[in-house]
Amino acid sequence: MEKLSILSGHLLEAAFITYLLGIILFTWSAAKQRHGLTERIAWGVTAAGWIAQLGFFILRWVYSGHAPVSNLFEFMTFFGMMLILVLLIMYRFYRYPLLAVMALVISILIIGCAAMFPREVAPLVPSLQSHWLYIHVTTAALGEAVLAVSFFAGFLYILHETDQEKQHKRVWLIEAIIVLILSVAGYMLLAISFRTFGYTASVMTADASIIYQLPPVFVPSDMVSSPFPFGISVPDWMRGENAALKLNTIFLSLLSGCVLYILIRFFTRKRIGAALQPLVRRMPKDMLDDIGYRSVAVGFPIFTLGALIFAMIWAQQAWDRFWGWDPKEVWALITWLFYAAYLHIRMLKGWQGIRSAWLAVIGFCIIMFNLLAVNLLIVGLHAYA
Amino acid sequence: MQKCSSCKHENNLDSEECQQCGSTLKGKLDMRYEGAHRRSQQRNQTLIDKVWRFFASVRNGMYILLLTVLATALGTILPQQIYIPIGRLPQEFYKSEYGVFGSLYHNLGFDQLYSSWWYMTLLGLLGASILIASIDRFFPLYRALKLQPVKRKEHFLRRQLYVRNKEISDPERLLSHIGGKRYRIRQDGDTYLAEKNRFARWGPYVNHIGLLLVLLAAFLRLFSFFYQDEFVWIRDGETAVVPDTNQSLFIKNKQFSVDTYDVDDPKFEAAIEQEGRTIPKSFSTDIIVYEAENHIAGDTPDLKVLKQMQVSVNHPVKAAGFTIYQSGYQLNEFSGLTLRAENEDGITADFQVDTEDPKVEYELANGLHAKLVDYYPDYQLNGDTIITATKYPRNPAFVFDISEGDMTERLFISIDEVVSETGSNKYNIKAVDYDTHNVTGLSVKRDLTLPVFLLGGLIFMMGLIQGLYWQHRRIWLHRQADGTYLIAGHTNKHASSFEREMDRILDVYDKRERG
Repeated sequence: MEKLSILSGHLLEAAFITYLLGIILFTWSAAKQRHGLTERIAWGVTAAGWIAQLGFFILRWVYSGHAPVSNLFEFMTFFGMMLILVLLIMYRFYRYPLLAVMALVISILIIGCAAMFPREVAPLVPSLQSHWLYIHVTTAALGEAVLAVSFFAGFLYILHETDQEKQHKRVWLIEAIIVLILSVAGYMLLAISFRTFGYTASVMTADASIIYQLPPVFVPSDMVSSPFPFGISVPDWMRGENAALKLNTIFLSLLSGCVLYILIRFFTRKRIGAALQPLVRRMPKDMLDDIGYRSVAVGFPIFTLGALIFAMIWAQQAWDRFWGWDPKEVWALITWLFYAAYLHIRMLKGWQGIRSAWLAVIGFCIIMFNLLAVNLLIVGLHAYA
Repeated sequence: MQKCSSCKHENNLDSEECQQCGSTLKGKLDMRYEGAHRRSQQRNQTLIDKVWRFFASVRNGMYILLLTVLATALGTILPQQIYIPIGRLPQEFYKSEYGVFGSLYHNLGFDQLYSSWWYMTLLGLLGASILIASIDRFFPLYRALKLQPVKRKEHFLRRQLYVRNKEISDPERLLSHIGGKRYRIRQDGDTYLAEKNRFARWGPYVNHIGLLLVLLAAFLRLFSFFYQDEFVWIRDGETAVVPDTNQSLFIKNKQFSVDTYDVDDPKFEAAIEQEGRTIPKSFSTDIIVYEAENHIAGDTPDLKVLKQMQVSVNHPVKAAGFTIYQSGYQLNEFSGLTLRAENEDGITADFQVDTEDPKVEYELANGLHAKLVDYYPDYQLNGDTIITATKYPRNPAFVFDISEGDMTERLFISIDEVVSETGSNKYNIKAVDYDTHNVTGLSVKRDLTLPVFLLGGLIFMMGLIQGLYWQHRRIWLHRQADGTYLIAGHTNKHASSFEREMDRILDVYDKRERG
């Protein structure tokens, strides 16, 4: 049985590397004018990676005895897997390599982040022991993955439509989104490198010692000693659980994102948005707008079913109330309300195209907020996942 | 309706020229709601009309919806009052944990945001918007689609989304291709109308009915006839009455049990070590549910066994119209404390205090007299004052007056400390022994609104799928004066996939023509 666990871990690594290869192949295919063999190989390679990840999922299920969707690591890898599944299916209908690149990039960033959380196989506490665990979580993740496609299409639409010379506000917003995405990559790189060298720093406060996995730039206001020479005390009002630690991680991620951004600009010699635009310009913009709307139209019912209806049926059974205003529940409701608004607002005159695209970007931010921030910043019943 | 671009006059969809200024109407037609006249667009200006017009507007509905989104998010900035640690006073909790911001948050009532009057009002407004906007659109749209003619003016067709001029030698064959795509075809003279999936147009109205049912169910919950929510703590071996059941329902806790995962299980070892404590595997209670018979107030009722069963987390059970959930537990609650008091001569005497229902006066063997002045079942220090977090004996503390003759000393006694409040330190007293028991927490609920919620959810899902997974598509085939055909197409959403379908149909027709 021990071997299963190790094999399953290797399959995930294989999937990760295959997805990276998929990005390169799809990018190449996007750069070439004509669709053809490269594109088919790229699809095949991505599909192979997905099969490997499916293997990881099944083996882990067999080994742990429950569907591996019960903590952040498991849920995020599963969400990444659903993104790839949606991409593979969608590609049969809309053959745009750049959409595939977007999906792959976001997916490996999510899977990469997932690996930073505890990966041990954990037993299920009583409230999680239910078939609804995997019915609810898998449907919700699938719904979110389909909704995410509207972000991919929307972001490409914005890149397509932005006049790099004139629309300064929009140009900088695009660069800001790119920095945010790079920050996630930066966080991954930092965490992996410091972990490889076995770095930990223990910061002593008046009543506890906090273990930092990254250099402690931000330390609690009541710090007594730190191994790192330049500690900045967080302001007194930041008193949440591990506030300094979280701020430290966010700060270093953004810092590394900026460094990556500058490095890339050093090579491109122009804004990244401007560098990407020629690739995007070849895509028909009406089609992008349509894909964005369509993915919300398809994803919204799946999300409703998984993240609200199934969730409520289970909550009624496990916690004796189907709704309890727990932060994760509330943010699922906010996501749902937001996409409901998207579907209505699109009907209003002048809200198709660029405005819808921005809405799709905001929608994806809300999904990501619920995936990560609610768990990291707000404590609730879903603290485990 | 279409608005004239020069004078803003509202004209029929079929009009070629503005009826007011005579200018030619151009551009793609806005086909939403088939241009039907809606009540909200009429020019009556009574108060009711104005209210109707306000709620019928999708734009206003969206303002209300986005306001609701913002309000909902606001409630997650800090934990809601229901989630703050048991026993903490809200005023003090928000101030000490989150400083000035926390105080403000609490004072503005954001810590109970979701039950505030204004949040309820927002939900009510949202419901009104859903209801009125739906009624305002559904009936005119239904009539317009039911009565739609096959023949339309050329001007109307030319302004559709998909327009082609084409020579068609064999319209029957083209129609059979179209029919192959599940279109239903009607004919009027030389004009054909092919239509499919009209039912998709009703999707939004169906899902709105589902939503209104959900809101209705939430409203019904305010009445105890539909919704009753009770909670009982029962010690092992004891029987408790379920509150507000007219003393008719009793539950006995035969045995509460907790099971934990094996710490040495190689599979979970690492995770349990990471957690730093054992991980529970199950919480369950063996219970007997009784019904009271011949119950006269003040008498001990005769209990008739209704059911014997086991309730555990995720496996609620049903009895006497109620659903019973395992939803809490307390291990090692104190049932009784043995206190030892020492008089001035150093002679000790023990006495028992029941934590459930403590006696007030105690005469001790060494001549001391103990009088219970105050009792805190679950004591906590809240700043400088002593409070009890719950009414359950989880951390009992007492204030006793110990006296001998006219000498009295007031002592505060908890499990691990004794403080003399009078400061005289004449008598010594301490806890020397205790008995404990386990307690199960059962939630007992009767909720007749659940089926309404579920039905609302089902109808909502049906409406969503109906409206979002199908599109209403129409193709008009109109023979023009020169013998060529004008082909016009309309879809209510996803224009590009409709165009693809149309192109494919015409391609197939052309290929056969040539081949």
